[in-house]
Amino acid sequence: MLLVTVGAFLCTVALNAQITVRADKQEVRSVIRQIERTSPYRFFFSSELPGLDSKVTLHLDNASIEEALDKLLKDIPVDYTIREGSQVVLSARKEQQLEPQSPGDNSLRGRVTDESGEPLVGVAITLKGGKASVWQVTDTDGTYSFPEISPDDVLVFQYIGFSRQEVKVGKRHILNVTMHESSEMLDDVVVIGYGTLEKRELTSSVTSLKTKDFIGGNTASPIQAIVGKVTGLDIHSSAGNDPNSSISLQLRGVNSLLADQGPLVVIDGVPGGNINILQKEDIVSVDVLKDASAGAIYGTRASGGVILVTTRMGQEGKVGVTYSSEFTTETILRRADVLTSNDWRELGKEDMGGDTDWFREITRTPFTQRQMLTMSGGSKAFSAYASVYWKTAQGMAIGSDRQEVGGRFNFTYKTLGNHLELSGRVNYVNLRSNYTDSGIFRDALTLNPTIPVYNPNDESGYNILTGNDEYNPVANVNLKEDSSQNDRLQASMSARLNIVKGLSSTLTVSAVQDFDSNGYWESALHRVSRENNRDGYARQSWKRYTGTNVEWVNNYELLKDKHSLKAAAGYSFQQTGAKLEFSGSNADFSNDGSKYYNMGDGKYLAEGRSSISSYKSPRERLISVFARVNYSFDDRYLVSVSARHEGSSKFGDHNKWGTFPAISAAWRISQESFLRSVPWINDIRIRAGVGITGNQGFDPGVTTRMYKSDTDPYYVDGRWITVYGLSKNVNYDLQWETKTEYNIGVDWDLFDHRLSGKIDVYKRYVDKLIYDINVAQPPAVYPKTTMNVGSMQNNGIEFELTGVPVRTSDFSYRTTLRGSHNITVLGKLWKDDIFYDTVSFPSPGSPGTAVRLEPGQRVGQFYIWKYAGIDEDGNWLLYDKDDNIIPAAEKKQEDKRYIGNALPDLVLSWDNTVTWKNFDFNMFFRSWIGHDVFNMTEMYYGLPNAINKNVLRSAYTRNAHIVQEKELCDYFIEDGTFLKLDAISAGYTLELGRMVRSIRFSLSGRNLLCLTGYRGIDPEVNTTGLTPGFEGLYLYPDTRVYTLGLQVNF
Amino acid sequence: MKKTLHIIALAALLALGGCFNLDEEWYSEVTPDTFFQSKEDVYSVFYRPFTHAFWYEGLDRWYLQEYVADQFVQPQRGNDWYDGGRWFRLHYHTWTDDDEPIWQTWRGTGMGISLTTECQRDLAALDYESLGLTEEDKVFHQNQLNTLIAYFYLRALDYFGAFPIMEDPLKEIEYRSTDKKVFAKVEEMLLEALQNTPMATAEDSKIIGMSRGTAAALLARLYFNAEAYIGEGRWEECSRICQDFLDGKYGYYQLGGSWKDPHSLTNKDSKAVIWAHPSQMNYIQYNWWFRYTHHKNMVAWFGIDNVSAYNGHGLTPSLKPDGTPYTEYRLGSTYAKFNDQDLRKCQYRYNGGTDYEGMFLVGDQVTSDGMKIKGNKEYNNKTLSFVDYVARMSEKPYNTPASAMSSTMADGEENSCIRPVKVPVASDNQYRWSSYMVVIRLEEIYYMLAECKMRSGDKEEAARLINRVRSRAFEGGKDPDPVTAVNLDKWRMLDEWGIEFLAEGRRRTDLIRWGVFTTEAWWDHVPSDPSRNRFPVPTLAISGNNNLAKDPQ
Repeated sequence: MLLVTVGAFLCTVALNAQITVRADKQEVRSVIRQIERTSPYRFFFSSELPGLDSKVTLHLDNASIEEALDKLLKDIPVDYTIREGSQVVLSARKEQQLEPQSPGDNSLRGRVTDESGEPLVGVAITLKGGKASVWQVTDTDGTYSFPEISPDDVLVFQYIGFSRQEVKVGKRHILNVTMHESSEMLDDVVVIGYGTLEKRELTSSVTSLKTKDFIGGNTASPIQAIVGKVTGLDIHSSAGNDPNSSISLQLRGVNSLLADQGPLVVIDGVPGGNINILQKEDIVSVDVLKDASAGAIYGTRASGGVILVTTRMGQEGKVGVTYSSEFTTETILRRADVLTSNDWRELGKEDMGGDTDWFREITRTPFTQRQMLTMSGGSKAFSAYASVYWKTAQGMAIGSDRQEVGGRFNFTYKTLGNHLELSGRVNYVNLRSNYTDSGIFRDALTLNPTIPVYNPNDESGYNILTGNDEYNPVANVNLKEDSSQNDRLQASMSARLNIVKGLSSTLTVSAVQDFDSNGYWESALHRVSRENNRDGYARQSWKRYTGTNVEWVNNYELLKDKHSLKAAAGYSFQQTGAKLEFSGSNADFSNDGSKYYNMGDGKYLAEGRSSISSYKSPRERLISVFARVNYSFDDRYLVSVSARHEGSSKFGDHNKWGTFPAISAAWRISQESFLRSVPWINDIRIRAGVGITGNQGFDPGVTTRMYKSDTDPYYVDGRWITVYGLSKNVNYDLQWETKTEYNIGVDWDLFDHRLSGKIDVYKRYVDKLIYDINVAQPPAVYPKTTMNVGSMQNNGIEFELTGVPVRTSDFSYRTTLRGSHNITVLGKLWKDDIFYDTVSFPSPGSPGTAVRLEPGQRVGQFYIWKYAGIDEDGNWLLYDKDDNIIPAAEKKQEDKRYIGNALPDLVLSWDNTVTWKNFDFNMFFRSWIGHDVFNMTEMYYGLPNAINKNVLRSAYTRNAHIVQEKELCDYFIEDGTFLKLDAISAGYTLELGRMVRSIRFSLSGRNLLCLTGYRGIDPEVNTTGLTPGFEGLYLYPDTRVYTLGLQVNF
Repeated sequence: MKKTLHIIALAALLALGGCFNLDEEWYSEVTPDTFFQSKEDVYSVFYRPFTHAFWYEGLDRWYLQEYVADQFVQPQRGNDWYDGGRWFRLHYHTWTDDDEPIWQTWRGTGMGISLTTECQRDLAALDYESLGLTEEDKVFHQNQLNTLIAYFYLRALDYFGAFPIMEDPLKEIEYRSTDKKVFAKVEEMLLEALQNTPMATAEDSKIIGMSRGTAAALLARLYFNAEAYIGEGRWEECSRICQDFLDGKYGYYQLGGSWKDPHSLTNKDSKAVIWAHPSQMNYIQYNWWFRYTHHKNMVAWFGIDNVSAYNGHGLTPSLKPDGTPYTEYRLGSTYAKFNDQDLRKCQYRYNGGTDYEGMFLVGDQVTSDGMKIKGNKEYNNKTLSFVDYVARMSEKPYNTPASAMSSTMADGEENSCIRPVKVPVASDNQYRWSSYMVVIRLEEIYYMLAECKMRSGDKEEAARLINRVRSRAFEGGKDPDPVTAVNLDKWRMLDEWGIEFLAEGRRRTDLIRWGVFTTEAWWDHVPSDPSRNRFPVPTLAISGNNNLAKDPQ
């Protein structure tokens, strides 16, 4: 790789970081800003430090940082320390240490730490209303001491990025303080991709979350810790809290038909990472770039928004060790209400002699534990963060479990006077999963409850059901094994060169390596083996995937008077695809115990009935150059302009390259003279932006004419040959799908940060939508061709309001209300009268499709018949297209109509945090208002006409009068409005001595309560994608999740 | 400083040169440009359209010939097979432009034409001689593909009438064409193929691929139905081709001695088969019909595995729920049309090797070792017994007479309808699925000629031709009810077609040719409208090409 060589070249060039200052009678404060903007150094200090207003005159050329600081601070009582080579911490100069007259009498000492127990260096401590000269700043180990202090004194602790705290001394001689991070601070650093901005410099809609914002409790993926925390971000799990469930994400509504619909995940600057292998302890912040004016710098992958995850890096200082431990269990919140064996007998149905609650048989009280050890620390030259964890998790369903072992190592090496910085991040996880059978919940629902689970006379001990559609789910799971082992490695190395003041160049090379193996085995006693007269079946499959990323980013910063400029430019290379797969199967083994480990043994191989297959997907590449400039004048007028020129291997020769520009601006109206003097306004900002992003997230091969082997062979001249033909319709003219997004927003922060919030309104136009569209055959070989077909539009509004009604040294209460609303409308589709029917309902009954995608229609509607009642014979009545009531047998396709709305009118979340002394308490509610859910379970299992199958109790209550087979109509659509008590968590932090610094206990419950009129299991159904709103048939139960956590800081 | 900049600039240049390569790289698939390395590769491409043709014979194309006609029904069985009324609509002739089987048939036909044309183009561009083949091979290949394209157009004409004709594969179709144009296109392609295709000689492969005999038989089919297709009788031409056939002009074909011959487990050696697709266990298996006909528990009866079964269609009932026969209809009553002495009219049994008997599953299903096959729905844990009526007898109140039970498409149970076993099922792996899928066989030539003779007044000859085929199904050839010049009329002719070609996917065509498809009633079906002689252009096809919405031109 050539770029690696470039990096190596760059690394060998030695340069010196130099400070140049031109200041004539300027405030110290503004000189500091000047240094910040023209050098890699960052300053951390309390705005209440004495002397920052004093005017100095300073002229320096290519001075060292130490020299500059010595000269700048020589007349004011301020000391400095340099952390991690580039962080300058300013603290009030310590007074001459006075020998205490009677030690122990009136002295006070203590330690200041952050929530994770890390010591905080340079925290400013003042006496409230007291002598300004009494100043203290914490040391490198976070300690401080006052030789003499009065019990009535109130100490004020202040630290950048953290909430101010006031504590009354009382009779204490030791006072340890935990500082809480604050998100109101305008100086907070926000990651925006290829650079960072301070919060006040933002010009677009970005939500920034820190560790403290995460919801407590164990989750399958760390992203579930931010459910409901980002307006407009939809997070859906495929199977409740099952450790093997998969997560889908969607931001601000669906934005594509065929191509990628979810947001791009960028981990530590590397696009396309797998967020599921991170542990939440590893994460410092999650920044979500919502509108295209921010995301466009990521070009074609950012159409669904961008989620930037930053992991922890080591801090200079003593090594801090944290041990975390979590124990989780679940109970059932809601399950399907089916007939019991007694009900079954009373109805006079066939009695098989048993009393079985199938649901109980296939579920258990799962136990999940996770242990994690992290270490962080380092010196000026080298700092590192390391973590290891071990997790064993069980699902609610029998047979579903998972074991994880993994670790992360992040390090930074600095040399040559901080001019060269080498850093790396390595994340490795080994996952071992066992999967249950997806059909067991359906079987548990429909199986006759008088069938016994076990049969002592059967060799297997189970009552093996044959001849039926259903399996004995207990036997089915226990007589087979479906397991996988996955190795995930994500590694990146970067070299950063601080070339001259304000200019740096960073080269990052990263790789993702996934290695998956799957083994599937059915015992000789399993029903399928018996039915096929064979002694067992086994299959193994192996997959390997390697992805490569190279990012070369150059950053430049310039400050002159009131002008501030930040620029970034670079090159990006991404190679994906080329996924290799191999699988083989065999059956009829001589030994059942070998499972899938001795695959050659099966007789099917000799009989020519085993199978083998392999595949390698095509290589995909994305290459781009990009640039961005952020300019601000006087911190009042801010503007950001960016562009990315990107090429993809998936398009034809003439259409490979696209350009994706963005512009956004903000006006901090609060900085204008007429508002500056208003004491209760901290910040008011008006933002507007527009950006264009592309989308190429579809399978490759659309623009190349290809042959593919057919699954059927043919017989030629005495032997069977594999035949080849065109693999798909080719479209040489395919172009980028593009999205143009407009966003307008207002941010406010009032009353000393006690009332803050923001509102955003957006409009997204997706054009040249890529979709597989019906084409005429002939001339096309296949019925669909991938084409640029039309347009789509998303409109929405999002708001967030945070209040801090109480804020004292001991007690604080903070509450946040978030809300969002989005509608998606399909615009044009290829030709005017085209539509696409989808969501085919399965047999029995195969009632047809329930969704139609058609130009001009909102996404989220159902396209079905309208229910008109049940006649006295128990037959369905429906409305025809002219609203006449007709028997269901006479219905026609044209009588179908658009009904309902699966997307909520309003999505709300309400977050409440209370802290009292060392206790903290959080209560989190979520609500969706005004959405419809198609209750498929009720439709398939809630009618009395089932033969030999168990049904929902509603079949003999609410639906008892229905005789006829089900009809696809809105009888089964219900209002899904709900209010959930999504999480309660409580914690207590015990401050201890020198060896063990603190212990934190926490208890959290997720998904505790759901208030809804919906009759199914969970009204929070999938609302991502084009066909939202169906509660499917393989019902995973809704569960409450309880987690006990323990964290020890050393 | 300057030196540094130079180094950076040089490095950047190198990087830019190497890292702006956006070529796609492929591993598991190949481009046609690099595919052809040997003559085996030519065969690999040449036979791809044939695997499509194999698939094409089954499923939806078959439903549109049989479920809409009088011999087969796909009734609702309790919760199963209602499928949103799809099968009801086919049976009652109330199908809509959106019905799935119609779309699947349209797209399967269109794909056949396009896929074969693409294959033809790719092979035409090859230098056969450099790949170890001859120019004659190339001509033969091109003409075989022409015959195959003609076959798809012929089926298109039969289903839809004016199907769009592709003149240039690179251009959108501009209009729907007309019945006459499609007819002319098929005729022209087949006549040309007839000139340039050699007669089948090699015994093993004569029935695979498109021989001159296949082209001739297809041309006969075209003329045979010309009146229905374009309103113009071409009986003479059909008659002439059939006679030439029997005279050996298109190859050496000969009727087998047994009724089993054309569909037997060794039918690849049958001299009566003109065109067939190969079938062999674990390769391509001609067994799609198994799962749509048979009950899942019957898999144990047949002694086979690796096959699912959905308990779907069966024969149109001959009996009312009270056991009395339907006498009011001239069509339908499929099982009753077989003479009681017909060797086919008994329970199918496999006797090992290539030996089997019977063609139906009737009554209680008990294996030869006495194992009773149980039901799992209405007759859960009771012996499964297939009956020749449709009624929900499991729900019959004890005081209701069977004659009062309703018998409609909605009244099926798991045991309703007799099931055909048209193609033998062998439990012996060596012979399982070894019957080739026959598309055209010599018996059809006999029957076409017979019908032409009958129409031209020569009923004696017609009866002789039919009896030649029919007599094989009786012990010692002793037919108690042979066709005679006296009893041969339109209805007898249709019955004979139905008996010999039961389940071979042609019934609708025969009913239309005789003008009774939309005018007659049978079982739960009442006469429909003449417009139902053709299937509509599916909505999905129009959405792919709006020109198809317009009237044919």
